[in-house]
Amino acid sequence: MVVARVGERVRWSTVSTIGAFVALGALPIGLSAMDQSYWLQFSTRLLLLAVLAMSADLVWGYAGIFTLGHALLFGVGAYTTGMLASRWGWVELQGLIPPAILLSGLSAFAIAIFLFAGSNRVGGIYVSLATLALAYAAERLANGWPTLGAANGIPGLPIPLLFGYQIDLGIRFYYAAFAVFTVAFAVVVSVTRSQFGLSLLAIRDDEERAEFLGYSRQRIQIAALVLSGLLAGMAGGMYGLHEGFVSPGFVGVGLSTQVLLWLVLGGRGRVWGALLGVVLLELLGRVMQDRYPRLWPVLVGAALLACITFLPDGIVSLPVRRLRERFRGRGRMQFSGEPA
Amino acid sequence: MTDTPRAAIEAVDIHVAFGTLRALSGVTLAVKAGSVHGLIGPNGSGKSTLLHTLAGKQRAQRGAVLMNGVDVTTAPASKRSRRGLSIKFQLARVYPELTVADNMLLALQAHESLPRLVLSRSRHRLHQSTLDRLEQAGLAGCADDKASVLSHGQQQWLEIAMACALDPAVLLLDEPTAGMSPQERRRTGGIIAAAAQRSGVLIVDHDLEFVKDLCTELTVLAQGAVVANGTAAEIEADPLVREVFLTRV
Repeated sequence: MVVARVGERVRWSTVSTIGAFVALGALPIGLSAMDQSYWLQFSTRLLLLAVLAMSADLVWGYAGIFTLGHALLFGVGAYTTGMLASRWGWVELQGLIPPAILLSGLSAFAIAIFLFAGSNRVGGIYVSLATLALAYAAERLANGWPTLGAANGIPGLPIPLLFGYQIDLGIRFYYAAFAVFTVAFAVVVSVTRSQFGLSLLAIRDDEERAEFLGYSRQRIQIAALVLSGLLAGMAGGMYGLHEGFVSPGFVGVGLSTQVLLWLVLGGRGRVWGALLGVVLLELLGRVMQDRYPRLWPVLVGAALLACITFLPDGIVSLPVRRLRERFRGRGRMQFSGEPA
Repeated sequence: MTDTPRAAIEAVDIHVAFGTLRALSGVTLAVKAGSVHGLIGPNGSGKSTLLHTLAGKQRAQRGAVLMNGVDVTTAPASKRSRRGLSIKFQLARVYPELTVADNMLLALQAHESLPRLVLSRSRHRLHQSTLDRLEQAGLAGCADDKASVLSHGQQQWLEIAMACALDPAVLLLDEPTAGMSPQERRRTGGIIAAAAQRSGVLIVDHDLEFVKDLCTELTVLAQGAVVANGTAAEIEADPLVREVFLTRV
């Protein structure tokens, strides 16, 4: 009897991933050739926001932790690089980003301990409310704390260096962001395809059943949030440097909500869903907001409602569904909740 | 003096109440290692509550749960599982959206350390063990199918196979043959008998014929209390059991 190999990846998924990376790698060359520096910077921004979306997807899409304050971890990373660059004059990326990642990871660990450890752990909807409250409090704190620049934030961040090589805005920063995106993508894909990724799905789908199998829910949820915090911190640190400033909005409820909208639209629990959501909403937003400032928010609301009702797995599930049907006749495949 | 084998799991004077309803009143029961112990009784007699109390799902208001002599009364379900306790629920609780192979892998990797899980990078390491276990359960042919497409009987087998995956010291089975055809019951009986060579098994079932053939010892519960305990022949001959159980199921 022939038994299909467990965990076998579908070939088209690898091909499309390579294709997408080649396209992302070639994008700045094309934009530079067309002298589109605005869109080059815009693309850099999208790559970093996609890392934030992927980190949020790790906790919501895979671990089932519905956080309403994910930007807090992004903001910790941004404020860390902002403080180091403005107060201590650090400009080297290799010195700025690791502390951002570390502090964000530690913040995630502290939040995870608060939420999940102990017998009186916060559960269900209260995780969302608690993280919402934390993000709100952090934004208020940043708004009022002079050391963090209060409402003005930290403006005028210098252009960073990488081993003495200036990473100015444009093609160089794009590739730095692309490197960050690639690392985050590799981490998320590796984690979600690992045995740990399967444990995340078990906790997400039936927490109690997983505990009866012997899984420690606390440890797995804490690990997922910390891992996500590390990625969000990396994205936040780079984002602040790219924008040249850090503001209280980076840690707040607004950006946290936006992250969820990207995931709802793009698709949760699928790595490309996060990127798709960011690109669609931000790109369309950029184009539509100026032309139809009153209509655009209504359209976004309608699109999200339609998505939740008719495409609960997000837009990314559309091609996946079609390809699954197309390939069904050619042999067995395995999707099993793994990223497409 | 003879050495009596230590019980794989023991319930000692267990009391559980839901508000004013007393679900279990002073239940004491011991499952010996390598034996199959049947727990029977009419609906609402407290069988499932006792199983949930042993597994750590339900907290006892009074009494103790011992595993191989160690008190685990306050230990959460995951710790009891790591001590060697495994449970199959009354309604099959497999992961419907995952493949059959992933369900089995979940059971096989459940006791691995967190760093090992995180650093595993792929799910291939336990591939062969996964397939072997599925082969034993007769489910290797549907390894790549979602668990939701399995028949009721196949889902029950998958859950029993998951419960047996790590050769537990204690195996709790809540109505393992519910909704099965006679043929499927016979096969399930074979699976349980094989598991009993390595584990102390406690079965809750309504089918007296099924448990009678399989169990070395039976305990009868009625209204949350033990009314009889002994071999199948002793239980069948007990007039109180006949009145309580045989006439009311």
